[in-house]
Amino acid sequence: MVRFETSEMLARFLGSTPMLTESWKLCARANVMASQGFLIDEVGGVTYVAFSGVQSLDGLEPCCGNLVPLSGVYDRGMFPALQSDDKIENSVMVDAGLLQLFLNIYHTPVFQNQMFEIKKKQKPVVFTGHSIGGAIAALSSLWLLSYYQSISSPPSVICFTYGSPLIGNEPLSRAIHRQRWGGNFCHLVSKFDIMPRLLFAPLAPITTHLNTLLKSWHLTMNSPFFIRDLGVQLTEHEKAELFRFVLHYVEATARSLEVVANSFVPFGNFMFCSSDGAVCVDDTVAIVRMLHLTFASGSPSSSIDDHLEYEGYVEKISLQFLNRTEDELCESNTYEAGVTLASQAVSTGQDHMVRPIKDCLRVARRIGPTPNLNSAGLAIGLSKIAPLRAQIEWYKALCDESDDQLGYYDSFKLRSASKRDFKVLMNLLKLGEFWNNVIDMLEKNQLPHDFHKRAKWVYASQSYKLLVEPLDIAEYYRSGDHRKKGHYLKHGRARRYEIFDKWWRERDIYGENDSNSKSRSKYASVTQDSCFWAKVEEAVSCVESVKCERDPRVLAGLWADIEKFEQYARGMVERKEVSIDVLAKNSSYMRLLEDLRVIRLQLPYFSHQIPGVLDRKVLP
Amino acid sequence: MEMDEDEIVKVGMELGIKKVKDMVFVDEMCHWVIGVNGIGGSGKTTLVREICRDDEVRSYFSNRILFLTVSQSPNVEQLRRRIRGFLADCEMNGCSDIAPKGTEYGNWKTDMPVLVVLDDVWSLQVLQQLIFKVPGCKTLVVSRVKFPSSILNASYEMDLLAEEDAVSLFCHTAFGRSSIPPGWDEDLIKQIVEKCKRLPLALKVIGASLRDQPEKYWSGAKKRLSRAQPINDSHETELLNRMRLSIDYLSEKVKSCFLDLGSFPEDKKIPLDVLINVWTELHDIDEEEGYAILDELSSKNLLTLVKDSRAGDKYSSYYEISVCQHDVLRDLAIYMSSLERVNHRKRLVMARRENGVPKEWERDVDQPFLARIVSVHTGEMREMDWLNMDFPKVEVLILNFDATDYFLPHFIENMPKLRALVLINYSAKTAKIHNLSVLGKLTNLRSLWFEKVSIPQLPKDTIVPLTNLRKLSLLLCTINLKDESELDLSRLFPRLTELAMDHCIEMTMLPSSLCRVKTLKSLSITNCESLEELPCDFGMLLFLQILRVYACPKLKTLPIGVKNLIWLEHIDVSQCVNLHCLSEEIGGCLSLKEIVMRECPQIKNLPKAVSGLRSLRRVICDEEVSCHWKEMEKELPGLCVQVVEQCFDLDWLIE
Repeated sequence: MVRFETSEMLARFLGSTPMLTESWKLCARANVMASQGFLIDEVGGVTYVAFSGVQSLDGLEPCCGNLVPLSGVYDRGMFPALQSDDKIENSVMVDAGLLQLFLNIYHTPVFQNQMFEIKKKQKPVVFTGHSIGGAIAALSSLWLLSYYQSISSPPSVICFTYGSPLIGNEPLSRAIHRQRWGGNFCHLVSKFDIMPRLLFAPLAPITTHLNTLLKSWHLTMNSPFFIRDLGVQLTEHEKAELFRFVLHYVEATARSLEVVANSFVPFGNFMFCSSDGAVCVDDTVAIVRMLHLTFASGSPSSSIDDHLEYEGYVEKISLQFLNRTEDELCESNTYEAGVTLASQAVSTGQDHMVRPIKDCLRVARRIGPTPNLNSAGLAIGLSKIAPLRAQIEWYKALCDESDDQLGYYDSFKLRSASKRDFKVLMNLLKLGEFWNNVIDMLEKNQLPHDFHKRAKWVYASQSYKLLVEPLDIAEYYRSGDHRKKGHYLKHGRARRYEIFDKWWRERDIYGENDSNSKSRSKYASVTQDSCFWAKVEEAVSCVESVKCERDPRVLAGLWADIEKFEQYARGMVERKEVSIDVLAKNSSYMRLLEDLRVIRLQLPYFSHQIPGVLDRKVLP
Repeated sequence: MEMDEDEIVKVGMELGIKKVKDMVFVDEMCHWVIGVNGIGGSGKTTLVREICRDDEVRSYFSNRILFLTVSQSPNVEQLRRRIRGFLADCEMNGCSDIAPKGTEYGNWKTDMPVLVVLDDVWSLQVLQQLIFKVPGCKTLVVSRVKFPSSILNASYEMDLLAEEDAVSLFCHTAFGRSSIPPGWDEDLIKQIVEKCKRLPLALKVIGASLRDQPEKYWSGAKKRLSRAQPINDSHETELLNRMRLSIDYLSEKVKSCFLDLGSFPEDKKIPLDVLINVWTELHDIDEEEGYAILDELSSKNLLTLVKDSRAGDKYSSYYEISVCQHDVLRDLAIYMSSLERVNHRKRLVMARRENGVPKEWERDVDQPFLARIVSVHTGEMREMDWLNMDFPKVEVLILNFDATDYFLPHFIENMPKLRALVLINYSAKTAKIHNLSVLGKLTNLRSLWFEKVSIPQLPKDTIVPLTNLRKLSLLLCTINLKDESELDLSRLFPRLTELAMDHCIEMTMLPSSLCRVKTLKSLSITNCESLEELPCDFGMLLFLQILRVYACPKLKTLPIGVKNLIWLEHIDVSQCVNLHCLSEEIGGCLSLKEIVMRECPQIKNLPKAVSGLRSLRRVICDEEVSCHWKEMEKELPGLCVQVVEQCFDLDWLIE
């Protein structure tokens, strides 16, 4: 299929399904009459859950607009699939106020019962909601998707939101991308609606305006006949202030290339609608730019009124599908024509808008379709660098057989000017460069979401790590970096290795469990812990310190570290999880053992000087 | 385990026989020429004789096979007559349907294929006269020379024997059985077999000379062999003189170039750069001619080029390419250079590593040695290990050693004509050099090659300028540059035109006084893992034509001042994995003809200024940037962009 699905054609397709109209119908009803905050209906075998956009925000003001991590503190581990053990700056965060609203509903017995039924029936579910209800629908979908993750063939979970505020940060967007859930979300955003853009701006300076606005919106939404202008209204001046304030931040976000930490970022598909049609966009950058471009063409009052216009848009989109003639569909088969149509669809009557929107859609396409191509390109790249790794394997074999009995770790660490060792160094650098690039692309979402779960890459990265990381450790200690920066494990380990560790831990271990229990009959071809040598080096420096340390407390600590290492290393060797290079006669590890043996022989002397150290070992 | 005669002859040849047979059986009715080439004594004639005896071959040609030995001085007319007669016979006896017997063979035609074997062909000119372009006539050419593919339709190059085949062939000739007989010193036999380097002729001749001899004689023979001396007369005539045929056929200049090859240690690759240098200094030839000689020797199977894919390229750096030579040929070269008395030899060569200067040299040490090239191969040498020798005529001195300390001999001072000094350390560790100041007296020294040594910091006042030094190559060296500010390279090397530093592991930067060596035309700083930047006065090297900085992984940018290098023709930044861009300044290098930038993953774009490089002819790059360069092809007529596939090997594993 052509990648048109990101654009106008997908919008039209969605308009043709009953889901869009059905979910809006229920949303409108929920706004008026949901006593528990939500309504449930079943149409054609599909369960629709609509959250009311009229939610009590009392006491939530300080929370709204602030992000909290989905680390389990607030949400009690309800979103395991989205949690990551990455560093703080990378953690998945959502809006505190919206999360609280969701949790309030989630914990009601009615909701629990309904969800129990849904989970039991295993039928398709559509979560939907207008305005703030949309945000709750999105969180509910994430929760159910997380829950279904452990099930082999889960029923589909779809989410339609109408003018929903953004709910989370960039890591959330990325996590959703990686889980391949982006396609489950469709956010309808009308051209001028201020609500979906609101959270680009800090809320504190505009709290009073917002309160007035929300109250007035709620009154209208809550009235069965959708009567406008109920209650206290913002003055024209206040509307203009609000509009300019939000526009300023939307613009800044769209302009900046980097994602600012702690800022809100869209995810999923965005359907931009106007009275003339709709366009679907799924690339984050393009969404932000479209949010800006369309909003900027509006006016203060339209930005507020448009939030209440979704009924009309939904109707138009479904009607439009019925009215389209055949030849128009043919015409849009070419890409350019499609972009033109799509840009016209959202920029009626504003010809000056057509061009930038067109550009934006083009960019969206250019960025959009590449993940699979990128992944294929990388696969070729991997096959191209495979010989570099093979050469290192040969180097290892050569060192293993060499008369100096150093093993490849020590051979490389003790190298002097040598063409062979330099060649290995170059291979090391080239391989590192390749893998860094892979990670970089993955993190920029240029690769398929499940890239890091594909066996090919998990295994390739693992075998790369096991073979090559020892040499990186050797280079680190050879160059004396440990004296400048500290030990490798804490201060020198390249980020890629930590990421590969994670890939390996999270791999699909289906059918592989039994191999873990199988014991090895001979030594592994490469040591199964790629950081083994780093641990040896740390133990070596402990032993060095022991030799000149006099403070008994420090000594006790050092000995504890050494013993911990010995136990670990002994286990590795006994399970034959080390490669023979570890046991080469002159390797760092064997020399360390010898060193320790000698020190222990002298230990009575040491402990005589320092009474109380290692009583259990020294005393008869 | 006895073998019958047939099997012995064929030891290790089955594959070769099969391959050549496949070439012979090609169903091609126009004339068809197959070449079999290889080093002397590699069993070419044996192989072809086997083919002629082969039942399949005989029935394929219905026994119509003519075997002719051409030799170095053939009577071409007579040979032509014999072939013509043979072909005519075939036509009459065969089932030919075309009757008229023309004088032109162009009209001849045989329905049944015939085979003409030309053994021992030496020159192309002779060969051309002996190939009859008659349809159905297949010619099998056996030669030590690789003839061009314009003459040959197919060719087969002889392989040396596999190790176990070598042992079994040797045992057969020495003991009449296919394996080492019990009770014999297995190591000794293996060492002798090892000396033959899997060459069938050597195995047979040496095996035969040792047959029925007592074991003591064997160990004596081993010693003689390792000094490249013949064991006995039969060895000398059978092996050396037969191998010598190849040499005698060479022109005088090429012959002496071949004999120079004996100056390099056995089993070591000879850096091409060193070899060409030695030749240019000794034989008054230029580099191009040296390369032509190399080509000739290689086509006659007298040496092998390693990594030949890049040799001969105008800008390729010779020091990454090397040559190697079969030991039997090296022995031959040494044997031929050692026929005269020691003091009168043109080439004074140590055939193998010894602990000190050979006894043989000591005898007439009070008289001058007339050698033009001297090669010494030792372990560690201290001051008193050297003799005081006089070398009034030496032009090339090659010092090979295997140690961590090395004292340069005082007699270097007595080498007024010395033009090239080659110092190579073969041990695994870098060696300390002592007595370096001895070089100060060498006013004629033009080239210096140091490999795997550490060059100590010299006291400032002892440094005497090397006024005539043109070429300085430092490989795998450690150079002490601590007191860099004192050092003025332009004073030390006022005429240096070529500087190469390769695999200098510790060098983080170049001395800035290098930029004042204005005579410099070629600068190669390659495979230097610590090099972080080039000096900032780089633009002062106005006459630089070639700049190679490949495989310097820490280099991030090209230096400021590159724009001044208006004579720069070639730049190579391959494998600089951290180089971010070609500098915008490169636009100033108006003479730039070639840019090599393979494996530079960080370079994603080109500087705009490249569009001004009107002289640019060739760019070698990765696929990723090749599209940018291809766009440039439109703007720069004459530019050719090449994406080079990498090839991987394991040769680098063996040092």
